[in-house]
Amino acid sequence: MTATASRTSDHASSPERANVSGTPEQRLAIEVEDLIKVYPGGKTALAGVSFSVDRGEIFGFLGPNGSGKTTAVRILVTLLRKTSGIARVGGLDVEAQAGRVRDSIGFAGQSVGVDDDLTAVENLTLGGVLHGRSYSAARQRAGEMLGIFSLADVAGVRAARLSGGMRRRLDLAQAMVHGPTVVFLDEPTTGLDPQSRKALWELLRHLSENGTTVFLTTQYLEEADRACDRVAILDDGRLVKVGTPRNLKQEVGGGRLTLTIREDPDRTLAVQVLASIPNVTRVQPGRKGEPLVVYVDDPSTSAPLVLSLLQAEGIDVASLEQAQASLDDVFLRYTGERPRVEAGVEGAVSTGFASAHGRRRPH
Amino acid sequence: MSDTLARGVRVPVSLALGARNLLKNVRAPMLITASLAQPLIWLVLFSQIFRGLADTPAFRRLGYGSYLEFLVSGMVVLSMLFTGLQSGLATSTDIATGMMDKLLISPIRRSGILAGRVMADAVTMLLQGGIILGAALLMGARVRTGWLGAIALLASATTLGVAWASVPNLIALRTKNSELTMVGGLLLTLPILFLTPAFFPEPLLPEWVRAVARVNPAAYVIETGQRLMSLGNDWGQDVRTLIALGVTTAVLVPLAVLASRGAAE
Repeated sequence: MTATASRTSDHASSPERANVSGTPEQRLAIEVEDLIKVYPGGKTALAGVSFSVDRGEIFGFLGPNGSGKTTAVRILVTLLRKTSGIARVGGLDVEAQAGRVRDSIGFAGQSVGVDDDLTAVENLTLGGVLHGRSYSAARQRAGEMLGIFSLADVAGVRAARLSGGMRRRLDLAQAMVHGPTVVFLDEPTTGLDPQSRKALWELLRHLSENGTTVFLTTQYLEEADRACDRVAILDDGRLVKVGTPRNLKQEVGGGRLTLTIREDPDRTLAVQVLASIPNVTRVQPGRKGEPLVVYVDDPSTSAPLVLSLLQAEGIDVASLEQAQASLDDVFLRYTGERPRVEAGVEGAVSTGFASAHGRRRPH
Repeated sequence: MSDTLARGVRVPVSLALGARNLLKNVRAPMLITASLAQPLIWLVLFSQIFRGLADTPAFRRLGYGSYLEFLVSGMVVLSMLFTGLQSGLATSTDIATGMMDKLLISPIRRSGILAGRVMADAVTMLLQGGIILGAALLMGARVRTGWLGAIALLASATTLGVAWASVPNLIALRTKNSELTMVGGLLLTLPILFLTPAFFPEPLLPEWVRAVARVNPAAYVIETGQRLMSLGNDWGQDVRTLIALGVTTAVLVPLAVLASRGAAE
């Protein structure tokens, strides 16, 4: 993808953003209030979710497998009917005004929704025609999108013969071919190589700066941390946290100390000592043989204090690592560390979130 | 999408999707070839195996010409039924690949998606029926009612095929599973064909098969085709066939439309 854009300064342009003006209807791209979805059979996928997304915002929707992310996205893009609650996109009700909502949105789902028997340019041209463009206008726009998504060299190649990353890019290009004002992307970077992921985030930032709202789910928390203005964390059909990545990280502590103690019997005492330190916000004891994780306001100043207090109690610390808190820490704090079993519409059985991106998961 | 589509002209969605579906048949012809090959093979084999039937007094009394001419109508209908099954499988593939989601969130009428499918199915069925009829003519068959009769045979069979395609499409839309669509479609398709006078004249069929055939729209279409091939036109039979096709279309197509509306659920 060749679209370039300078990144806005951190998350200052986020929701809590003061520079967004107008009435709530004009300001909000997505409004969700007490959204409930119960599938036939009784499984509750969404249990009363409420949030809103500003126009031009990049909003990350995070959650373990089976938490209800895809259900929420499918309701918002008019593919699924809600059980109750309010869901609006661009001020339009997603059910009562579904046709007008479809005019203004783009969507790329978890499956790469391209036609394998059509060429790249044919796929995009079809997308334009389906959105009311004339054939020539759709074809011209298809050419532009191929350039933006670095697919111009394979314009005449059937989608079935493209690599996985190219197919994903083609899918994303198709989602945006008609210039939607709100783009919904369900795990858009899955299957992309690092270069393509980086380019996609740059493109999304570029779109955001030009007023397009981006609503996405992702399994890559470090990307959401860098690129999203705000994130929402969904767990078991409930929204457990919404905020800027920066604020959420501050809430769990500015940083993290990971301690390994030599004698496991000392673990209980160590937890008691650590919990009594004023700037320790949380202690994650872990299981036998695992390191202790301590969340602190400032890891660099806390580390010497933690070490000296533990040594004063005769606890032998084998190693201590310090790091800034990440969105992973936020995520694990609010959704727990238990691997999830995915069920229902979200797909086949799989293990939990942390393992999905190669992170070491304490047991 | 083809470059032959006029530039600068807004293309009706059903036409664009119809062109897309046809292009897929051309570029991935395996399934369509299979649905054409089976009736062609049966036409060649059965017209030889059962050719002696035409010499029996019972068959001759009914006034039919050769067994080949008698068989053509059933084989044309068989190709339509198989193409209907391929239509359901194509829908199933669109669902599995996420393409159906893309169509459903486009600002187009659901009926446009269905119309695109019907358009491609109808063109494919007409071409296939024409090939089978052409093969039969090359093998020595004649159409007693001429070109008009041949066109009427193909048109009625295509109408049946398009209406029947609603059933595999319904299975695909409700189950979202290509295996179930294939198995369910086949389980229904073959009885629909065999419970007709496709292979033996109606008076020679067992009583219970004749009873079932009276409510089987394929039986009306096949019998009309057989008359057009060998006996000449029968307006009474034509009207009965038109009613059967009308009822079949009125029942099956709305079911597919309803299923397409809930396709994403």
